[in-house]
Amino acid sequence: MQRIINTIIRFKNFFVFIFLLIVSLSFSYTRSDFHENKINNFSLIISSNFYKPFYNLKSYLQLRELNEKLMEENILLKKEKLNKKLDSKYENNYDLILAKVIKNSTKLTRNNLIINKGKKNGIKRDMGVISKDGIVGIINETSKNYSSVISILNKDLKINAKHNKSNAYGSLEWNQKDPTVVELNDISIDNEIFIGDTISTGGMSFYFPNNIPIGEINSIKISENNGFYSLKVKLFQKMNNISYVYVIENFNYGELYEIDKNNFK
Amino acid sequence: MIKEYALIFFNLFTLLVIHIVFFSNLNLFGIVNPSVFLLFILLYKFDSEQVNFIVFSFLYGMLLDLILQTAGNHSISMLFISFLRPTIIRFSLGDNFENNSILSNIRFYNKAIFISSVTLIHQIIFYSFEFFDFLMFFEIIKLTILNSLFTVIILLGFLNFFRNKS
Repeated sequence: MQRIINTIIRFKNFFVFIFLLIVSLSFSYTRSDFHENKINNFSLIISSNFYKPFYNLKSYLQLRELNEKLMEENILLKKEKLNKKLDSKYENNYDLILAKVIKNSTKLTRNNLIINKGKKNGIKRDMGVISKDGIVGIINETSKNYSSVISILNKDLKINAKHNKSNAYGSLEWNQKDPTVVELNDISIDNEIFIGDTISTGGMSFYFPNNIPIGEINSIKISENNGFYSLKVKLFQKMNNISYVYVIENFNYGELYEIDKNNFK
Repeated sequence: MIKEYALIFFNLFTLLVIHIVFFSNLNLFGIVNPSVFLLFILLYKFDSEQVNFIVFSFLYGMLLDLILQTAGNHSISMLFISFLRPTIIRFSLGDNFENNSILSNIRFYNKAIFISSVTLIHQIIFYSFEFFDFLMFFEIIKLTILNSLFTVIILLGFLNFFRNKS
């Protein structure tokens, strides 16, 4: 304590100077609008620069939470978009469930994904899975908290797809070579098809609604023997770079499944 | 002691009146208003307690601010110059000058450096706070130089006049 007092006495001129400087600055601040504004600006610059690193750190730490919020918001928009695409009488037939991909493979011939939503969240077998860019796969197995998804990069999976310009339907499957390219077969050669044309889901299955984007044609081959195209389609969704997916719940799935089962008995 | 302070207050008051009535309204070339009240800084006893000097200077500056309706510029500039005065004395008059009590019998050259330093520093602080804007840098420098020049001339004249009279 004595040392502090001694220091204060030793530097009394300086302390008096600082004290009076603060008094005069506050005097300046209160007497003049111009100085008040300038000092406010100055204090804003100082405080913003002071808080910036803390804010950056806080933002970084909140990124996960923010991401979740954005995905929630995204899912609402996606739902709206999805239901608008359908005819009005089928409106609101689909719901979306957001899930995070916790495991993904692209180098096998039967690739699968695992997502962090399961029976508890309403996930059932045979539900379609899409991402923000395009289709991803179909739910295969579900546990209480997790589900496995048959990836579009799985040789066992065939999906109904259509050529957007001509509305010609075909069957989409993976060629097991390139994880960015799938093949669309069974489109008749009397349709005009060009490189760069886009492919989307056909809506002829219970898994996916109509018009979910898949990719664009980057190679056209004609099998002369049977009269069908063999098209190579570059996927919109980079399958090795998926973080979040949407599981599509078709409210009419049970009914459709029953009819289908009875018809093809 | 009381007589000494009474003299200080009398000098302060006289300088204040002279400055307010005459020099602050001079507007030479439209911009020059010499700060004769800096005589207080120059003539205040060098060997006295600096804390008192700082407080007096501050109060004097504040009085000027209140009368001239300036927003704390005089207080701040007077405060700075009173705090820096020992350093300016050492710089312009030499290390041993603090033993002398008043500004007398020193060479004109040293006196001129001392007055110029005090004036220049005071003016630059004053105008910096007056404009408080880095974009007005050249305006601040122009006003500082012109006002300092005229202030130094008048202060040197004052000091020589009083010395000759005494």
